[in-house]
Amino acid sequence: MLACEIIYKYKGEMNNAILTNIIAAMEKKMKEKGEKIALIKKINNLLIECCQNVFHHSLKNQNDSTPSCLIVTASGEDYYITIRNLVKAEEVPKLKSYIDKVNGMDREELRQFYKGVLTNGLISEKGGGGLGILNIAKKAKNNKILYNFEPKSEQEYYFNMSIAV
Amino acid sequence: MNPLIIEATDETPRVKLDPESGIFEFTGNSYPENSVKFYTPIINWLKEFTQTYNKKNISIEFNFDYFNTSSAKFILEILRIIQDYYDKGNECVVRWYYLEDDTDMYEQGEDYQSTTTVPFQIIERIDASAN
Repeated sequence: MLACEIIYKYKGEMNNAILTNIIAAMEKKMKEKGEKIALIKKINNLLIECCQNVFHHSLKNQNDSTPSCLIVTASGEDYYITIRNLVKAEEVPKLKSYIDKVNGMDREELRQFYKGVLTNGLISEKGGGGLGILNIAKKAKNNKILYNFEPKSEQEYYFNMSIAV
Repeated sequence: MNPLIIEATDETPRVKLDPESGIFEFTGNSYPENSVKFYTPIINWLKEFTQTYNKKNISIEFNFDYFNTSSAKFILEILRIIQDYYDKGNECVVRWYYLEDDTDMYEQGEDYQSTTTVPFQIIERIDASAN
């Protein structure tokens, strides 16, 4: 079994200012490891989509914050981004069926689907239209999103998502 | 019309829309928390430009490092405004820059290219800061 190295981990509130810090820290680490700029960009782009997905769609706690947990690991030549946040129980079936649909597509189908949503979808303040999840799958290795839902209470689930880069 | 110049931040690009030269530049990152707030003044400026000016050649320079999906929608909106201007007989060109090996950015350029009939060049740039 290949050794797994933790490159970055973060637990706490997620917002754009924190995301900017995460990206700067990741970029520094990746450059120290001698990784190519194109790979650094891909990982940062995925981090943007994953983290913004969290703070745009995650369930907020009493303090109006969006607690989240992010971990980036390296194993062999691959990097893995794993992120966890809270979602409402009622959103689980919809999210699950959307990710299953996206995971069922190959690279070219994803690209066409993305283009369709991009050109026909509506602009909302959040971005919306499922484009974030689509973009994550489009950029991920093998175009697959690993995920599960763990119940926290009757109304809340942890949404765990992991992608290889 | 006055130029519209917005300096870059970590999460938003430098924007320079110059009505005199007809060069409209977007350079850097684009992942604002609220894309509507950031892009609405840009969209409004471009709409006013296309209604004010006639027979003015324009070039749009997209030189992004990363952009999020809600920015992606506004890039398309900008291209639609340019398309209308082009359809009225004005000369326009779009230049989409990508860093060597950045296949995602290259493909996104191709995807946008396929949505428009405006001349659209996809250009590789070499990163001077590499290594």
